Amino acid sequence: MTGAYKLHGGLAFEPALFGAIETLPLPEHIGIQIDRHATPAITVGDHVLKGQVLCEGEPDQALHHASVSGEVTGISQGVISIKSDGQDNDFISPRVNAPSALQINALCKQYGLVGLGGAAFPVNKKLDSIQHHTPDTLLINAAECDPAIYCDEALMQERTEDIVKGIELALAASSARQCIVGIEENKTEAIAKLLKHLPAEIKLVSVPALYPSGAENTLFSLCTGQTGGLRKHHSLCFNIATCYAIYKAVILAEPLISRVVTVITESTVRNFELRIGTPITDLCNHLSQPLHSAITCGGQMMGWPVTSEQYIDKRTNSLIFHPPRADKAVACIRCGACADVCPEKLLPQQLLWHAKPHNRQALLSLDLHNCIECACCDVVCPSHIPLTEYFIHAKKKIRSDNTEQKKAELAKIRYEARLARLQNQSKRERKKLDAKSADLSNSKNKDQLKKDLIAKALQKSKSKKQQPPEKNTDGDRS
Amino acid sequence: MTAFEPKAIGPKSVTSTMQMVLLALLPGCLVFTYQNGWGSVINLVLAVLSAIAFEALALKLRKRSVISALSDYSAIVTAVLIALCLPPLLPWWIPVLACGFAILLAKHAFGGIGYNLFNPAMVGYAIILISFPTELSLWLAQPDGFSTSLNDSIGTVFNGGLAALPQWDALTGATALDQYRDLRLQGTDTDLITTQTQGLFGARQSEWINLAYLLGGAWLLRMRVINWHIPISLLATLAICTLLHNALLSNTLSVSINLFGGATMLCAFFISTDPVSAATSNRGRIIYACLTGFLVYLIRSYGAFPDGVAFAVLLSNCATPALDRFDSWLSRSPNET
Ligand code: SF4
Ligand code: SF4
Repeated sequence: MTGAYKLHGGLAFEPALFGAIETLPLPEHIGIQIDRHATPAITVGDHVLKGQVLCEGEPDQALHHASVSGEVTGISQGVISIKSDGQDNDFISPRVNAPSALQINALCKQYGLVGLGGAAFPVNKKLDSIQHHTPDTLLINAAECDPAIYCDEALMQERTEDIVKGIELALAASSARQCIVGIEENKTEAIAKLLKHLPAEIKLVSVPALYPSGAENTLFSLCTGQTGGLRKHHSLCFNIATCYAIYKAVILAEPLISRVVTVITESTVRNFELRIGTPITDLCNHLSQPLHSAITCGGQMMGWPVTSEQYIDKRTNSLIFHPPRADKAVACIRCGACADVCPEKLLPQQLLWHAKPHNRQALLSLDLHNCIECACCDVVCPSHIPLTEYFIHAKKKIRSDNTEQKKAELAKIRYEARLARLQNQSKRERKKLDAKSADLSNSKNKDQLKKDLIAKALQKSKSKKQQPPEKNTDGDRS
Repeated sequence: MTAFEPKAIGPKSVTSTMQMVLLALLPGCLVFTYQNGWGSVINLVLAVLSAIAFEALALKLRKRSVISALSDYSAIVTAVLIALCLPPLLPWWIPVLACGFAILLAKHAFGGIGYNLFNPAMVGYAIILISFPTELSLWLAQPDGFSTSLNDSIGTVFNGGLAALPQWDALTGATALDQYRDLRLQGTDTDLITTQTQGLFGARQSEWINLAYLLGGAWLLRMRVINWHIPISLLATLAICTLLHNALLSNTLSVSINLFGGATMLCAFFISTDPVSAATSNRGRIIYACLTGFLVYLIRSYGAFPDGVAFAVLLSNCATPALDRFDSWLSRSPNET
């Protein structure tokens, strides 16, 4: 085990206590959210087995599988509803023995694997993205991405061996030069278990137990000392839960139809292994929480609101049943607390000053693009200013301005080309006109002109009469 | 949506910041009122009440919500800081005037809390210091310890102040810094200056109040209401400049008198740490505080005013926009142009 590089700022939280991973009874019906462009592979009324593919994904989207066996009762607004038949019969897929790197990749695609840290990017796509050169580092993210998420820690405590197998598979599939597991130093039980099972060539680095150590680029620089992000250093990162899913897919031939979700209520922190598609209502009932309660998905720092009508999907890493705190924002008092905690060493107060009137140049020179949207600055701001919201908005605007600018540049190039073409054309016409008017002005007077014309015509007709065969040959030739 | 609260962060709102600052000023207030008697209590009450009134007036004129803005306590902090700079038994309208300038001119004319370029308390104090230098130099000779009765004090305050009393000369005495200034201007032997003004560990009398401010300031540091950068850089600069002056030039105030005399500790922990009028980054704040410390030293050693705190702070305030720009320029990433 090695120590990590230093993190600037960040926030420390008291780790919560949680029990073993629990499950819910088989849901009566489930709803699987499919991508907007995906075409369903089943129709209403079909009987499906647990693990059966539900839709033909677009090439860059993950496949979805049924997480119960039963009857398809509806397909609407991107949700496939299935009524469970209570049997939970499996769709049996053949297992692949000793798969090659390419086969692992294909299996990840076949079983609908996505990154389970939150972004839900298809695993096979991530592996494809580094195909043309050997990646430098395979980073395994064993640090939780939010202070209110414990699902990865629970998984590591209970399924260490499987996870380690998954890590080895990921390493084989990526053929990276080195593999580092980054984990927060206060997860002592998980560290001990991982150390027991990890092979010698995989390095374990313990990082400070500060939010946002679990953000992948932050973790990467904490573990390797390299700044600028994973991509810049030809590296890639998998979450620990993703490795577990790789193990299940490749070794057990199980598609991604369940995940561990941290569920936090006013008084408890629990982890549930839930089928993808479980209605959040079921969870509310199980925990005896009111159905209309305010629920936050994705952690307390960067989470977003959900309602109990929604379903667990592959991105659901945590659900917090907690009323949102609404403090009124007041003017910035320039206290600098935000700069003290910013892990990217930005000056959020200055950024805010320039984000309000959207002073693009100043925002760029203050490195707004490096902001990881971790919301540390929001949490410490005594004026309760939603800084991150401003930054996300400003970044979007800069991005759309950039595309606008590119479009405008293209349009300008096209316009200029057209202008040049037209100018050439009109130049040629002008030349012709000039020549004509020169002819005209050369002629002394109209009579003279007429006489000339008549003379010309006469000559023409004469020569026509004299040399009809020549003309013909001309015509033949042409 | 905070399910868990982060550890080791500063106050959670502007209101609690200001409340903690007031709490940290409490030991200083106690020593101050013990030394100066009912006169300074009256100053405190007048300043706080008038500051609240002016703040409400300004908010009303600017069509802001009066209650929610008043509840941030910032006007009260300004008023208390002003009152802690004022000698007791002033005519009642002087503290009121100081708060008027502070709240209306220095704060709301610039756009209210968060936008003021200058420290409001110091603007208010500096204006009346220039306008009424005599009144503002009349400090009691001995610690009063509330020996003058409240009734007498009120009577004095509402009848022209201490200066209007026939026996005022007998009651008042020069502070250590005053004494030093006078002796310096007379060209007196410097050793005499030190023996006349040196107390136990600082300037006679005012060492105690400075100690009280230091305690309050240390608590603010511990509670993360302020960062170490400003107080430490300010005190260090003041001490180093004084040491160098004593070693290389002539004798000036001793380091102990400079640190524990006048309003040094009040300035280091409570006045120049006002975030709004200080530089915003930690690097900028170090430069800002060094500048303030240097100016305090300069004014005390060469200036016409015995204590230079207000002017030093105001001059450094002028430099903050430049410091902020300088700092964003420094922290700009090299690959951006
Ligand atoms: S959200 Fe951006 S600016 Fe705020 S602390 Fe995080 S990285 Fe820094
Ligand atoms: S933490 Fe809030 S009040 Fe303090 S400087 Fe940053 S934005 Fe301003």
